[in-house]
Amino acid sequence: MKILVLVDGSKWSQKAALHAFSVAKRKNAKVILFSVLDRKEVRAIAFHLSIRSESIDDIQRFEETAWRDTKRSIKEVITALLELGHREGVNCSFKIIEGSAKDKILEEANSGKYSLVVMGAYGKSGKTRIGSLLEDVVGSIEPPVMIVK
Amino acid sequence: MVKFTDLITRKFQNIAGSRYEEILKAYEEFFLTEEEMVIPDIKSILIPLDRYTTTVPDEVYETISAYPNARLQLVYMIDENVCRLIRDTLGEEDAKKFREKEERRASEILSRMRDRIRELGIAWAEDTVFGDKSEYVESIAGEYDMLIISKHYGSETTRTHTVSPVVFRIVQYVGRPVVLY
Repeated sequence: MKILVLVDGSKWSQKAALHAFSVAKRKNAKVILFSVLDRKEVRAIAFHLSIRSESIDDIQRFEETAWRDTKRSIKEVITALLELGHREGVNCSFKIIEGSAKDKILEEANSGKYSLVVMGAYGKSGKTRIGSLLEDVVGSIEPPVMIVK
Repeated sequence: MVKFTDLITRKFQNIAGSRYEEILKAYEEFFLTEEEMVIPDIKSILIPLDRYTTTVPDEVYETISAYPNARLQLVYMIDENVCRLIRDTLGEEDAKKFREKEERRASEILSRMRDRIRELGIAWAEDTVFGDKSEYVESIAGEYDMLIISKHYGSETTRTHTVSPVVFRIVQYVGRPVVLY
């Protein structure tokens, strides 16, 4: 059995990993912590936070800093989860890729390699309405999906 | 809590200290504290079923088998709103026929699942309930640690709308992990 955990760095995705570890421990399953980094999202944040800046260089510099921090931040979260997983005796590894989150998640989740996909109910913005998540991602994922709150 | 304290101290070193609890409360949606870093224990699972729940895939049984000490509750729901609609439009006799047919279907589906669960050696109970499919599940979900539910539960789905609106509502309002299949 192989379990895919969608990790976006949020508290909810970390809780999702804990549930995946729980299943993996019993089933001797392999857990893959999967994260997609979307440069466009970072660019949008950089733009909106820097919009009052007079110099385009500031925006670009800010975007580079934000991108570097995003990558560092997700690596820190995944490292902490891997440590916990290994401490619990779970066979886990990670995969971080760049691209459009929805496309890459569906590509990986529907690759035929997984018996279960585990994800947080909310993202990095905290508790919000979860309809779009269900509509955009969960509905198109073929294996069973565990949504963690 | 050590890791969290370190994080707060690093990110908010000028304001942490006495305002620690205040910060913790304000940002609780974003931090997973050490206390929350615990592998969850699932002791009870609710599995709502209905006429749209035709098959339960093997992967779901595989997930269920990861909780050998959990108590499973299978509930087949007969839609009272549909029954009322039939009674109002076609009459009492047709409503009765609908209900009897649904009860037969419940018996078939529960029997199929019972066999698979028995193979897993997990304790279970089953029930057939006549009521509102969403309201009933929401009202009892709090008594269980997890829900396992079909994406099609409650209504027909289409190629473009792959999750039923009833499931949307349940996932939105139930504060438990939900496995959708």
